[in-house]
Amino acid sequence: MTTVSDIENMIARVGIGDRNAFSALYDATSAKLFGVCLRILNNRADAEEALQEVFVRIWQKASSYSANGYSPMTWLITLARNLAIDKLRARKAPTTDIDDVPDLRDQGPTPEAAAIASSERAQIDTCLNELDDGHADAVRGAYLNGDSYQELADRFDVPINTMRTWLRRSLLKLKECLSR
Amino acid sequence: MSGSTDIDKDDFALAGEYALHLLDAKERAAFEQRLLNEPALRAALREWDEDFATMANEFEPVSPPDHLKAKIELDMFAANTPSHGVSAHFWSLRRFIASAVAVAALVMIGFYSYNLNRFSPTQVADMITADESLFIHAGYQDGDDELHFIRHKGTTGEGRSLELWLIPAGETVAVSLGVIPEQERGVMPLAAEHAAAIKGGTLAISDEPFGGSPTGQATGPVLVVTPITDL
Repeated sequence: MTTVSDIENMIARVGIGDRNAFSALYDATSAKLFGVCLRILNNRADAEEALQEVFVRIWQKASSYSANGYSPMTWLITLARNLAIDKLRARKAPTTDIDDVPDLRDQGPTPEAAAIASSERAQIDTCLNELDDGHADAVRGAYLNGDSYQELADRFDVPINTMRTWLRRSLLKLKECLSR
Repeated sequence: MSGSTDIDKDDFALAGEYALHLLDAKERAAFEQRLLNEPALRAALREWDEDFATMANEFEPVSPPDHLKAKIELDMFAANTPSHGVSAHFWSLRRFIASAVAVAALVMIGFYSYNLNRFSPTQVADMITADESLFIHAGYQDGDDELHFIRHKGTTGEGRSLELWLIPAGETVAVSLGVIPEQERGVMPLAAEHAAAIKGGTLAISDEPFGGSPTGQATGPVLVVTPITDL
């Protein structure tokens, strides 16, 4: 199984222009990153386009990876998620292709899943649960679906400024809990 | 988890909003500008990214389609490939060969027309570009040493050539099958190792200088990538 340090090595080698490492990194991480793009964009064609841009970006930015202090899967997932949300925002009318739901699920644990201790996962869940009603869903919706303030405000039926005040307050509470 | 303690709460919340991608384009750009000069802000953002990433196991892994990897590598490395100082001599040789191939193809078209009734493809690929400006059908009959094509739609730009590439199954490196002749229909000769790799492979077309890529790798934009299907 590919380990976190394998991924780290691959990124480092991609950083010096190693195409074999790029190929190996793609094989090890594309399913996870495609999953991120699909979840955010909810459309296969858009997600394929996004994944292509993600790997171009990885090729370009890998040389600066070692200096930034990120764990490798966080770096890759953050990059993919940000790019997918950029595309989502750029898309004029949001499409909801229910038929586009993922159909090719990978089996087995991913390096990322193995890397993230369940205790950390439990900690963010615990801390999210300490937030006021619904605010945890807002944070989750923003992270997992790429919801915008407007979408969150519509869902909670509050003005966008109120939504923002709530969310910022929730973030500070969340941070306080996580650093306990 | 240190380094972010010396920024105020507002900035901390702002970094969280940035990490969630909730800021509008203008705020986002302003924050990115600050990131360049403020290590404490970068540290705060990294903490948020790492914290939020613990939710990332809810992103279900999904295998992307097989041909996507080849397309990505073809696009990227074609664009990034320096020309390796390919000499003008080599270039003109390629051009000569391409012309010779074109003439040969013309001759073979007659042959193909003659043999039309005997061709029954076992593998095909309908290569249609995203904007539908180009539609080329390719057909291959098992055991043949040539690939049949029908250009349903689209012409080649002035002074340009469309080059056909084969990405064999399980491979990521594309091999050139040559320039697609300008005719509406015809055949392209296949080397034995390429013929053997048609089944399960993927075809791609790139837009190249006249006579085809001078480097042996796609240099122009890849217009379409289509997996070959069995009939």
